[in-house]
Amino acid sequence: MKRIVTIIAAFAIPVVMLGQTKKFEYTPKVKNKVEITNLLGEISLQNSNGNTIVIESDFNLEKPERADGLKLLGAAEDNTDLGANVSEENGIVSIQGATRQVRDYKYKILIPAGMAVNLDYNSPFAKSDISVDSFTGSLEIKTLNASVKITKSSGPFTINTISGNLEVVFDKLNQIEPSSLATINGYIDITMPGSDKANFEINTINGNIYNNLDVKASAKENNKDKDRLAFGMDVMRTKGANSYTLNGGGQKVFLKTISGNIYLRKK
Amino acid sequence: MDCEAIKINLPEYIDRKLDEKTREKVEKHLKSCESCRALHEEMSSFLSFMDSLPSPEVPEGMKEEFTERLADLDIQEKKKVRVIPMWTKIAAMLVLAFGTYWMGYKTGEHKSEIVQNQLASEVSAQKQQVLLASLRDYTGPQKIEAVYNVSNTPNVNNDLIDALVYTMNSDKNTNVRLAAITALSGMMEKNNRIKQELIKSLAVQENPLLQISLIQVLTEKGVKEAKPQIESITNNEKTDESVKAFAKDIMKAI
Repeated sequence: MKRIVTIIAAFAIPVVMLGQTKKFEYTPKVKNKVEITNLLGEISLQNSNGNTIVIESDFNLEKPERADGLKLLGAAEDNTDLGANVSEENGIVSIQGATRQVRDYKYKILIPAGMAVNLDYNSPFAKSDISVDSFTGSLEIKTLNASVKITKSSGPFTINTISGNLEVVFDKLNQIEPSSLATINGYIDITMPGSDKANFEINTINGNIYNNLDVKASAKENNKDKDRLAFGMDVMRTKGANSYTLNGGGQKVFLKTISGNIYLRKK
Repeated sequence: MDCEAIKINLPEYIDRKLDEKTREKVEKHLKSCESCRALHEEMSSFLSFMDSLPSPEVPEGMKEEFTERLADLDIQEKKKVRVIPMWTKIAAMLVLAFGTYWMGYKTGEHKSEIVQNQLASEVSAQKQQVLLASLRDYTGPQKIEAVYNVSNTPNVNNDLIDALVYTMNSDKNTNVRLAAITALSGMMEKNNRIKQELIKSLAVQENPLLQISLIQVLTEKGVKEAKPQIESITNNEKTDESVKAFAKDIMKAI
């Protein structure tokens, strides 16, 4: 009997451990801002229901036997048991990766609504793309190659990437503060309700703009570069910066690509 | 009620704290006076923006930061970075603006007078102070909003250019820097210094997106003086390939 239990334990425990998700909770003293750095695994962000920051991860780094009784020495101490360090200073909660191996794991981070988030994913070692779902509040993301996909959120967003794609599905556009999305080689794909009010300030060098939102070129830009031969004609597209309004105009959305296309979709 | 009386009463009118009779008088005057109406709109948007900021108080640790910045001043000047002296000036303006404004507006007995002095006389200057305020720990969108707000100001003075140049060269957020580049390039015709600051910034920026944006605005505006700096970036081994390719293309066009 003992033998059977041992065999079952030997096989079953690693399987359980493999899929196990661990959780760490932290209640910030000041509900202001969260900065995430060096956490280069697969990150997904969402709002939490309460006032607590929750980090869920499948992090399961096995220490070598030789390291028994020793602590991992790095830039930050792993005080979450998830390969990350959480600290708070001057009203800013900092979540930072404590070991490079974090990039092999998934991190789901739940943030109390209203807290601003700054996610620095600007590393060639960053493993995956970033997904954000149902998030209200200011969100700043910086990536090198990773793409960012945001759904059911309102912003405001300031996101920039070198070669990643940026996809944002607004449930409604935040009308208090502007959003700004920029990429060099990737595309920008925006979806929002056709009834939302917005001012699009679009700048693309080699990309094209495709849309099925009912946007209108702003009067200011309409006459830009217009010469005598164009008298009586509408300007369809001007080089460089272009301004468009949706439903008479609303909060500003700045979009910039160098070679990627821009897509504006009706939800 | 004359315009002066309106200016005194406007803050309380916006805050809906006037008695009914005075409120009606203000409303009547606003309907007939275009300049007071414009002031009312400016003041309303300014106050709502101020209300949307996370905290109206002077940020903690700012005094220490001044001291630290001042200590850094000599070192920074040796490196020929001109933004730090401006920062101390900006910070000092900030303390004055916020301290006086909030003390006066929220608690002072001479509320109307102080608010009148602060708001009615120099609304555009305060927009600049909002920008200066936003150079600190506010979020990216708040800073972009502030940069955008001042980009249409007719009064392009050196303080404003300094603040925008500081933002363009030093802000942690690439999107905010991008907004500053756009704002400055839009003001290029109003002040000759801006052209030189944009050219100098080419040597400062490391992010490919910002480098390309600078090359784009300088070439679109036909700034031929930028050519050596663009060539220098193109020939630099460390420069990102996408920047090199863009610069080469654009140089052919020039």
